[in-house]
Amino acid sequence: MSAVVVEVRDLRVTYPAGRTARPILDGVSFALREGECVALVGESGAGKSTVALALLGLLAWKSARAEGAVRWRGRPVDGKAWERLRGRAIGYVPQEPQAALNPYVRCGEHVRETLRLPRQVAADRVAELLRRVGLDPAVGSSFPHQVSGGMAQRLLLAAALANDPDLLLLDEPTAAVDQTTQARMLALVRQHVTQGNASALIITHDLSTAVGTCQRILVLHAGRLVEDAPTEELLRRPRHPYAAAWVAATEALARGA
Amino acid sequence: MGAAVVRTRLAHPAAWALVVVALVVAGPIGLDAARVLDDPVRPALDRRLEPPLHGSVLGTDHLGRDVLSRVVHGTVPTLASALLGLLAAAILGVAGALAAGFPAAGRWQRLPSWIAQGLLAWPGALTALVLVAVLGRGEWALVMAVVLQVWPDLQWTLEREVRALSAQPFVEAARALGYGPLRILTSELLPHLLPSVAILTLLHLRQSVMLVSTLAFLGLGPPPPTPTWGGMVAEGRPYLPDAWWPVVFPVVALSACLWFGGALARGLTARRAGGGSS
Repeated sequence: MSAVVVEVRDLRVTYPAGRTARPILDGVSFALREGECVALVGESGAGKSTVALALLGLLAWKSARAEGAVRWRGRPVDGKAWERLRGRAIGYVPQEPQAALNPYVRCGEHVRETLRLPRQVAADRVAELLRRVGLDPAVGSSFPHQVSGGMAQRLLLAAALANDPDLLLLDEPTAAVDQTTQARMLALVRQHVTQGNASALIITHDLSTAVGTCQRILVLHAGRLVEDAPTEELLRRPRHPYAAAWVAATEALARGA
Repeated sequence: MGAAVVRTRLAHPAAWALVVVALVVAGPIGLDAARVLDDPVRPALDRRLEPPLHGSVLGTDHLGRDVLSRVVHGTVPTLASALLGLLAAAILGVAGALAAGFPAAGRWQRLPSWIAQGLLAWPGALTALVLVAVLGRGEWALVMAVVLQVWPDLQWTLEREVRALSAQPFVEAARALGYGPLRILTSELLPHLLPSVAILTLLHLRQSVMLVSTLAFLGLGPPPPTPTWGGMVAEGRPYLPDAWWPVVFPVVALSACLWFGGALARGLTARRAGGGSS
């Protein structure tokens, strides 16, 4: 079996009093291995984005209290180590792509700053990355409000891929883009995962994304991980009632469409 | 095209501010050089309390000094401490707000916030009196008084703004992309904070000019014979039943100044609300 990139063990996350007494995540454990695309599905409020924050080491930034361990290649990670991993070994494509771009900073700059290269050296690299995600390099000189949601999302994917990360985290990567772009983006993710010995976690509502791209599906329900199974197996024999309902609902939607 | 550029430049409130500041600073010097104004400090006892338009445009005060000259020369002593204090308060407020409002700020980073809360609960006029007692009469005591009066307000408001900004998806995304705290402060937070800083500072112009003038009126400003608007009102007050002009004209100057500050703030707010075209 291939090497584990990141492992989450017994993660329990609560927000300080006043929000909810119930933990956002409770006893969540899973591992992501090299060459693996994994989908994380669950209804809104199930804690999917909190998992992403945990894998980025950003729970403290959100004033959340976390117990449990996140191990990167077998080692526990602390504050400084997270700072080195983020943007380098971990590429992240946030939800709401357009809001995720600083409105005062040009599109290309977002990619360049992730590369951490001086402007003159970086220009070619930035153009290459933009082309890779199917964007005209000229887009680099526009401001975020001048590009569409889909373009912003591809831009963020370019930034996430910039440093050849070991782990790609994508939060609802296909919500804002059309079907062709969607397919192209997911193909890029798959290609990066298989060629770069990387791992990807795709947070999604969309069954077709999960099934077409991911070998394994994690189902999160009310802060607990209720399924962790290979895609085929989950579709055939979902064990948890929520997972069964999710599979049935999304299949019904697909038939209806 | 040149005219269009000039027009758009002049439409910007900041351009007007520059023009007025230049006039205020250069005006007295130019008028002195042209020998239009009388000496603002030397008494002329044979011309005491002359009404306006009887030999001098705005009349003379109880020592026979030209009121117009004193109003003009009083501009800088009155406004300098107010503006300097305001600037210092703005700089302190931005630094303090960024420190205390930054997500997951440490305990010591919250220190500016606590000091500001303490100062907000303390009567500002009393602070000013203590300051004058400690630092002595003069401009620096006034500057400090303005800082202590305005800074807690700015700290309070800007800190909330920093917190709101930090919750913006692009700040979070910047964190996730691995940018360090310094990079986030300078590139994600500060540029988005500056419009609020400009407007808040202008809104506090009224407060600080009023504070400086009140202290001067109470005799805590620069010592005589240096003219200040507040000091002129105080000096003219005993003669008010017979002569209104030594009191009214400094007040008119003060009002004009406050109106201008308010108009500037309104202009900036409108531009910001309209999305701006800069």
